[in-house]
Amino acid sequence: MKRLLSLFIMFSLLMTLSSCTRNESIGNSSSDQTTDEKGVVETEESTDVDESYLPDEFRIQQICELATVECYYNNVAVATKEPGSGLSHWMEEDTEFWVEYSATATLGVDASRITIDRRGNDLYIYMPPAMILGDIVIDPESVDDPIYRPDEALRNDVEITSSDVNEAMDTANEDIRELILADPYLLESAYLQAQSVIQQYIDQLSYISGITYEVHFESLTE
Amino acid sequence: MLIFGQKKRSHGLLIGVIITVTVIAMAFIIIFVIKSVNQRKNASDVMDDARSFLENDLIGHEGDIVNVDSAPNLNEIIPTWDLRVLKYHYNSICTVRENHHRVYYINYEGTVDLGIDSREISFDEDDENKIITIKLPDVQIIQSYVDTASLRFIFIDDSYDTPENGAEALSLCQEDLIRKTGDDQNMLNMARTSCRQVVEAMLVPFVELYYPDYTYIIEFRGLSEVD
Repeated sequence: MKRLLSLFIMFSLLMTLSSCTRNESIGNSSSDQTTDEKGVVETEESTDVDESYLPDEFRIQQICELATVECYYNNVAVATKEPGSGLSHWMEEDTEFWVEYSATATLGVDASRITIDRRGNDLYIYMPPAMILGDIVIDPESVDDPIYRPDEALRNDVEITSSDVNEAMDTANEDIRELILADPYLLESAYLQAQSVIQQYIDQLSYISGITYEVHFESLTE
Repeated sequence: MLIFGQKKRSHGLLIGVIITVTVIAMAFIIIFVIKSVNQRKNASDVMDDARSFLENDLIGHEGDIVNVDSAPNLNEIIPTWDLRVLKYHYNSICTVRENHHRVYYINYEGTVDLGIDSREISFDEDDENKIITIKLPDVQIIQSYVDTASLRFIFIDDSYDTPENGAEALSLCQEDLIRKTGDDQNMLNMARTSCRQVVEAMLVPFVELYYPDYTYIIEFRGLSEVD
């Protein structure tokens, strides 16, 4: 009787206290990575995936970007996770964690906006300003294990999750972006490099045709 | 005998804890209901309040990430000469196993940038036939990367939801993306088509300035394509 009662109470308590987040079914996974006992990830072809599942989604975007400078950064994201709400989060405190990683920013120009105008023997080439092309890309191999205070038995510690780490790095990347935009030297370097690429084509054509123009580079405003 | 005595005490302790917590929870619920009745709320308001109380105060949710600070250091600046002509955006799932058992899944969005080395674009003149050939290197994958903000996890075994696995997730997804896109000939063919269009738009105006009476051909070195 006591056992039955305790089981009933445990069941009702679990129903009350457990937070369920059940997502929809996973869909297909057309490839698997295996982590063996030593933690080494091995890639293997999946043998139990239903090929009739929806394929990986993809989207194609035509671009015309002349990338001219790559900037390599080292960064440490220092993030704080607030305590949660609910019974299971009682007595939690703000918890700080650090993640060190490297990232790359690519600078260049949108080459689709380059235009030319010939006035007699003068050639005017209008080039858009340099910008950050695409996203700040984190080097996956550079991401160190996050640092945070270890759990203690008599303390209800905030749980740092996998999503938290990636969210912190993504937010920290905004600092890299702001740093680049605040550095006129970097964007100027990228612009001048793009200019030299176009100049190279002009020099080639001039050499083989024997025709020479006076080339002027002008900046296109935004 | 000693073991049996210890088991009996631990069972009693467990039941005691469970009963205590259940009584406290039920007391909260009863107080809440009385309060709602006294405030003369209607049934749907009471249900909403009850749901809110259950979700926020009993079950609750994880805290938010706040105050992310960083001070990036610029290590190196390297010149590059990539002409990027196509972005291939992937939305995919990486399955992670341990000892042949699936332990968690990662949904991610990745991007593959394709293009050519712009330094290797050259021009050939055929005066006899009045043709200018713009020669291009073959397209290649310039960069492939995973969007950190796009990672979503589903853990079959919650013990794998750790910061260390979070740090490793990007690497696993990157390998998955490279493996899925490395042999994709359709993607490379599309990139070649895009490259021809981009080069045509970007360089033909220059070619026509120097060779107004010539026709132009765009071809990839090592391939048999001819315009």
